[in-house]
Amino acid sequence: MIEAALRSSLDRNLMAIEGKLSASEDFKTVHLTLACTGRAVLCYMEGLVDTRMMQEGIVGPLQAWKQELPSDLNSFAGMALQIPGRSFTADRDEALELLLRGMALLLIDRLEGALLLSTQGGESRAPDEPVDEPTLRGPHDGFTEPIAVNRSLIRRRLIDPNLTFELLTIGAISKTKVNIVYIKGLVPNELLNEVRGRLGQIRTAGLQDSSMVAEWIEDTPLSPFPQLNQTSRPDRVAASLLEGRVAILVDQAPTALIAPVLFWDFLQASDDYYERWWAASAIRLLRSFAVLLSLTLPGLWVLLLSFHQELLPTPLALSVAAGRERVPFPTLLETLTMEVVFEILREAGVRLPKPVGQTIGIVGALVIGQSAVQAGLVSPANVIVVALTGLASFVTPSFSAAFSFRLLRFAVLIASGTFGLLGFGYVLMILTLHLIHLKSFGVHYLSPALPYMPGRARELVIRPSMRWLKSPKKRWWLP
Amino acid sequence: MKRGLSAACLVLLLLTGCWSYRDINDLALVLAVGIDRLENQRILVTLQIARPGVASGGEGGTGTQGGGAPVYIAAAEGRSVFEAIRNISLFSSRRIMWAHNKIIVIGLAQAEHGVEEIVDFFTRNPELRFRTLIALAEGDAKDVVSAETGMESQPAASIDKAFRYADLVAEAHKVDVKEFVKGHLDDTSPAVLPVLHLHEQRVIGMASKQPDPQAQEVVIQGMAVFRHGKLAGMLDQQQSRGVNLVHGKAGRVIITLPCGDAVDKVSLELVNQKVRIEPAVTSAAQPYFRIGLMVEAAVSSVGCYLDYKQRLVKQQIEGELEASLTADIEAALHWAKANESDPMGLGQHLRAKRSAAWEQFIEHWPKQMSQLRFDLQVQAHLVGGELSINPTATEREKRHGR
Repeated sequence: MIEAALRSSLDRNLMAIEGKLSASEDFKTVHLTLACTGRAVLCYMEGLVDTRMMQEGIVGPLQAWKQELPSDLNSFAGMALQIPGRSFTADRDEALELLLRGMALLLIDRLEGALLLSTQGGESRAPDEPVDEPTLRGPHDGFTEPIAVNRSLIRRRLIDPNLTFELLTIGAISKTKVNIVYIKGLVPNELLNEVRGRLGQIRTAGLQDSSMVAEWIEDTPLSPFPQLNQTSRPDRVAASLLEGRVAILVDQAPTALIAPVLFWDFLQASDDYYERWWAASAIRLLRSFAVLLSLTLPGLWVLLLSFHQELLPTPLALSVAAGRERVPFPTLLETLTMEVVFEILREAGVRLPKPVGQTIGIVGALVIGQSAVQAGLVSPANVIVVALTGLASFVTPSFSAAFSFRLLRFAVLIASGTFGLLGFGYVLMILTLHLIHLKSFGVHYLSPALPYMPGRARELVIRPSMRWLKSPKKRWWLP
Repeated sequence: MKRGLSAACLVLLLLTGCWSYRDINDLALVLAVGIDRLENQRILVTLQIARPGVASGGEGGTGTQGGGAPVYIAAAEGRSVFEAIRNISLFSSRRIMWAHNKIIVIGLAQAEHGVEEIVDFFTRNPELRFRTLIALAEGDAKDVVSAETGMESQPAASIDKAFRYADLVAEAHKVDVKEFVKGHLDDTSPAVLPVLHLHEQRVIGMASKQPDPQAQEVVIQGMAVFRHGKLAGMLDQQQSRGVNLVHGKAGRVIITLPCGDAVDKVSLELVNQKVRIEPAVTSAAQPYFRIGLMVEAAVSSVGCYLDYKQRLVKQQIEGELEASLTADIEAALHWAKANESDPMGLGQHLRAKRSAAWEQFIEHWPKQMSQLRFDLQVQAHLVGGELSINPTATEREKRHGR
């Protein structure tokens, strides 16, 4: 029976640690002989530590140590070692956990407890621009995997003692580090408590990405709309924190979560704030229109062609009818098929290895477009509609919101194709009702439009000049 | 699982039999309809139906229908308009769709017999629009509907668009179903229709083709006036112009006057017009109207040396223009008196401004037009001359005058 506490016997202590880890190949031990007292053992996990730092800061000084041994490990470390961070523990489990997080464990015979030294290192990616949120003008850095790097990216933007990273550990096995990020004094306490409460309720073995956290803590899991914003841009997180929101960082996840989120946030890109307000406002309007198109265009097209032909101008009606002369399927089936084909193409584009990706463009454009029209399987106008819808959905700045619209457009399409304008109207009505009901961390999803907040709602339409936002935008989303 | 299965069933159920679902290529888009009354009192309905494969100009995609006419003319008889249209379904491979109808043409015989059924049918059906044009054929409507006419690929579109520029001659203005029905229901101003006349083709033919001696052109010419749902009479070109002038609908009408001797002409285009109508009732209980017309005209072409910057010349032209316009309007007013009809809608002014006096006319309104008294004053002003303010003149003419 091995005790959970670490005593002064090196062999016993080592056995206590090795007993847990000896089967694992990445657990390494280095036996050292000190000039004065004899034995010391350094344990570490391969790949998690900076070996050069360990050599220069620990092994070198230990071998050079010629003096008497002090009475306790902590003061020995202060005198002998050249490592800035260290902590002392006598608890085996704590020592194990810190060892697994990349610290080096030093045991010295006849001294009680274990010393953990910050030698974390190893391989990590550079904070490059995120692939799914590129910007033309703004900062080009993005979150990467280690949470410490991500924290620093935010901290560099907000030099304020009130910026707090609150630590939580989630995952029974993975013990993933999660940080609640907020600015003290700006964030409403109810929100902070709600976030803490919901994070505390996560019961899982492990977390691979922040999106898994989002699924655990969102208000309405059945809703097709995301209720937390996911972003890989530190500038976006910093801006949200300044508005009094809360961000959640997950270790080894290159995206942060932001709560609460409003529907309109998904229509806004960071770029909006890095352009002059005229241009930004125009683009914001255009983007809203494109998002609307990506949801409704196929549905509108089908209902126009198969129920309400009177709404088309005569020349258009004639040319569309001419294009459809040879098409053997009803418009609904034709459009539905083309939309599914488009989704297949897009999914293939994501999954295909990059060198093969080129082919997708050729296959998509030539085979599906040109040949299908020539073979009389689809009408040329339909190809335009499907392509335009696809293009419009790429305009949505947030990938997860774009996904919602992509899915919902099938609902709109089927309803329009079966009940015409009536079905179209009903689906949009149900969607609107759902959005009115939806809340993200207690905040109405559609605010400040519904409920209407005069003065604040204007920002949905245009992006006002910075000078007009007289007070900081603090908590503008709260009623 | 169960829920998903039932949802799938629901979708399948809906997809197979969609309620009122009809694809655009299964529709026969009617572009023009002609309604004639046959001698045996049956009704002949002639439809001009688009053949999209050809009508849209071929490039519309796969153009399977190859050549052939861009429209398909279908006709059927019946005891009523609706029955005749239903009879077309006996041989039509596509469902008749009215929403894109451009023009309704009523045959002369039908107009003389009465248009009540037509008004009812075309206002009752939800697929038909109030904005559809309506016109009277000088002969049979079927000839107008089946004539290959105009520059557009569909003849109906040609007629529809011809009305857009009809105000340049002001012999007829376009009338849509709404206006026609309004006139039909109204006491004060009667229903008026433009008249379509079949003329031998005025175009010489296309560059590559020989002119077709058989080809006929649909020409807008004059107006027809209705009374109590029946044709009351037709206005000739001058009278129609007079009516349109009083209506203020003459637009940019072109008027040609002699200049100097009778051979050379000066053409003027009206650019602005203002009408004032003051109704009154004389002591003898006759309707009396004071009609004031003020027009501004621009010189469009001059065939002689004419320096209209000189006041005398200007006044002379203005005088001639006034006389010409007065003649037009008087012709219209005399026609109205003789036919006991009110194509200018003078009764409306009477009702609006002399509502007490209107009471005595209301019963027999268009009849009292025979006792019409009027005072007509026309004022014309010459403004501008497009790009040439000075007369076009050779140096010799400048030295000696002409």
